[in-house]
Amino acid sequence: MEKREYAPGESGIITAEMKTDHYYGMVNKNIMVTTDSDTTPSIRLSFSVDIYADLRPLTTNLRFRNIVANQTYTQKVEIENNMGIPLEITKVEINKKMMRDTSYEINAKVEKSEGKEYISFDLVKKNLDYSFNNLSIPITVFTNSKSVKELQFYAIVNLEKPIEIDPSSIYMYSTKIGNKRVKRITVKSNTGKSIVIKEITTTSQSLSFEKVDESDTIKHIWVGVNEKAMPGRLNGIVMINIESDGTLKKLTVPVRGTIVK
Amino acid sequence: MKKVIFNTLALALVTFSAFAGGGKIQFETTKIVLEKIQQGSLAKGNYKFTNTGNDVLIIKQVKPG
Repeated sequence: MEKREYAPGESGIITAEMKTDHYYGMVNKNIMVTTDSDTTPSIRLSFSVDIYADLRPLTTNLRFRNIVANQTYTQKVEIENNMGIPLEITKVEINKKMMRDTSYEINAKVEKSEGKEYISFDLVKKNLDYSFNNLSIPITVFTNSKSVKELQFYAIVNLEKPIEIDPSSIYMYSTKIGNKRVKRITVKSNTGKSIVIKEITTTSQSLSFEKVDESDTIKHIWVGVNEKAMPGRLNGIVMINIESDGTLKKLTVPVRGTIVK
Repeated sequence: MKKVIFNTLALALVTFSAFAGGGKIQFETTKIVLEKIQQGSLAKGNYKFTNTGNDVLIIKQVKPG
């Protein structure tokens, strides 16, 4: 605006400007003009801009779930290409400064299917450290576009549990005394590393356990009721000490139920 | 009688100042639509206005809203 006071009959101009860096599609903004006029104290102006970009990804979030080390996972993102020439990727970078786990490698390539263009991302976790279950990896893809030189994506990674226990709780309904194979607990290594069940303890004097090795990475524990158990309600916790990759892990499974003669 | 007239005049003056302050702003258009603006460029639009009132118009504030 050039000035603030206007004589009767005088004209002026209000200029609206909008930076379009982070917008796409139809964007509507309003401008409120307040004057000293009693008849027109305030007026709302409308400013609409239809913004297009050379390249527009349909999403910037890539979700990788239940990731295990040393396996390749792929996610595709459709790209709206308004360049008039095919999309080319010149470089892919991971911003590792902000990452707690830098063992990830990501490659990206352009794929075409049914007239649409996609960026296909391949993700590999290169070490067996499972300390950080959830991670957001910033990825920059450099393109051949003159106006959209970089596309920013985020790989949202969720790691598979290194050791999985199933079920997480047990209910043993009307279990007879001496029945030693009532429910089965399975302990599984998702990292490919072998597991050893070192010890099974319980808070209940009535429970019995039987270990069955299916493989180096899958172990079963049969839970039952021992001969010394008394009829009545059953309430306890099974504690399983597992050794894997040189470390000990303690997993617990609550057990409830009833014991009958 | 004069007193009554005076009072009436005073009332008229108060009424005038309450309802007829400032000029009157009139825009050529209050809506601007810009099409096919490339992302990253500066979108720009001009709203032309005229003071169509009989008094000086003061623009107090222009803000997004």
